[in-house]
Amino acid sequence: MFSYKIVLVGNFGVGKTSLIRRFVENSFSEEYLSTIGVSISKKTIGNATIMIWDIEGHTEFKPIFKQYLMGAKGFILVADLLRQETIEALQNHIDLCYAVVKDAPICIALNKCDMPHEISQREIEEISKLSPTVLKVLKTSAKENEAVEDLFLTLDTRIKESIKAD
Amino acid sequence: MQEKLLSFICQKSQISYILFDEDFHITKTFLNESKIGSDIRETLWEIVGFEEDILREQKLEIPMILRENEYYDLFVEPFSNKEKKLFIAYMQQKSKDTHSYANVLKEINKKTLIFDTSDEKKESRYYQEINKRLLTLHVNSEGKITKVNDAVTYFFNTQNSALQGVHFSKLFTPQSSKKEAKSNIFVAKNSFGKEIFFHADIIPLKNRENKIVENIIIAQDVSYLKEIEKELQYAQEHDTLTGLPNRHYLLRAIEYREKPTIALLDIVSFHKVNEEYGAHAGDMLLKHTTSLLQSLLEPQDTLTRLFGDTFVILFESEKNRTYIDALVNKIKEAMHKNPLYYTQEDIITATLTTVVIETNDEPISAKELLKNGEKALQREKLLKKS
Repeated sequence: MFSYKIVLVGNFGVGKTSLIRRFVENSFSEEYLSTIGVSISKKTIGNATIMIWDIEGHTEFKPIFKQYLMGAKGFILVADLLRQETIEALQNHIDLCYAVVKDAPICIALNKCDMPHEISQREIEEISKLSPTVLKVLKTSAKENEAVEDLFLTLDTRIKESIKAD
Repeated sequence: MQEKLLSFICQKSQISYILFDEDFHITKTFLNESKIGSDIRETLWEIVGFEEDILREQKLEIPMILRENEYYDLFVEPFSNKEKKLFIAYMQQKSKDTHSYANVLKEINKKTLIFDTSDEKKESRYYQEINKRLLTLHVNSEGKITKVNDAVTYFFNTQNSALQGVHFSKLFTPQSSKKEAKSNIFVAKNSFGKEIFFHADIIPLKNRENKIVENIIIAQDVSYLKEIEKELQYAQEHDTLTGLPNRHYLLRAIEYREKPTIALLDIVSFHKVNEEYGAHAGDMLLKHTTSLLQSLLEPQDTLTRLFGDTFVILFESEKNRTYIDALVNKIKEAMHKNPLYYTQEDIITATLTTVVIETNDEPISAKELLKNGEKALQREKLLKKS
């Protein structure tokens, strides 16, 4: 058995906590309570325990605290399909993650896909090209449990491969 | 003794602590004694990922961790012990004020999120998108720039400060050359030196005395309209079959010449070609004649198709009559030597009727000159027939 850390990064209100709650507890709440500081959940998959850091989202007045990203083996970047600015912020989040952990694998969740949204396949392809270490860009819904497992498991598989290789 | 002192201090300051060794096994804890010997990472999940840093004796500080509705800061650092290398992780519980602060932030975020997904926000975003494409300049009563938006600095690839005090006319020139004509179309060169056409709306800002104190100029890129205008003008002034300029173009071009000289050329019995071989052969002959004429003319001379089978050459002003007559003869000869090979069997040789019209010192309009030319050509054709 071994443990590793991943961090969910994104603007506030994009659904980071909801994605974690869906993955860890298979539950969902409509009520929005923003995360202040950091809250850690854990989930065991196979022979590994994932420590999932749910950190305070980036806001106009409060940047993401770099210390929370240290020691992570991978990142899940989350954007809200209904708020364009959260998608535009992805590049900054990638830069921040790499400044702390170089070349860490990244999965990107375009969340709230259960709501009517406007994003083309070309835009999704462009997002996937934001960095060469982006493994997957998925349209997710914590509410409808869409692609949530795929999101976490894709990252888990890549991290386990890299730990094995080391 | 050291550990007893630690317990005392921690109790006094409401700090919880755990001592652990290099294998991350707990040696002492405020928690249940049964935890001793277990892996600290099973208790303190925060440590996962930081193992190497801790063993390198780097101090670790993670603020504002939320667990079971309580906030605490975590610190990990080496703990001096003579017998064994140890580390201490201590957690300082946050005060009630921190909870109040967190609740305020949560409330702000909630309200911001509601606004972010509202129609009001969407609308303001659309306006922002529009503004990004519009150049906005504040210009004082002297015409000097006092303020610009990001679209302007981006367009000229310069700093905001570099544009302050610059006269508007230094950057934007009216498109119309006629002074009396008031035009809202301006031209400005972008950072790549390309001329861009703008439609500018000028909004005067007046003070209480109704005096204009400042103008806000909103300029919109209308280059695409200029492109359409150019295309339309080209279509209006060119012949679709041969691609040559037509009568409209010729009339405009003649007006620009001081003493214009023109030569009119007409294909003899062109209608017979159409009747005998069909309209397609007629079209081919016109194209063939065009390329032959183009090959013999100098770039300064203008070849146009007036109508049907009549072509007009407008000569450069300095060309004298001897040169023109020699050229016309050369054209006739070339036409004779270079028939149109319509099919292997059908070889069409065309001849030309030509007249040259010069102007003297008396002013003559383009229309009159052309009319004179057409009359002379008609006479020449009749003469040839008789």
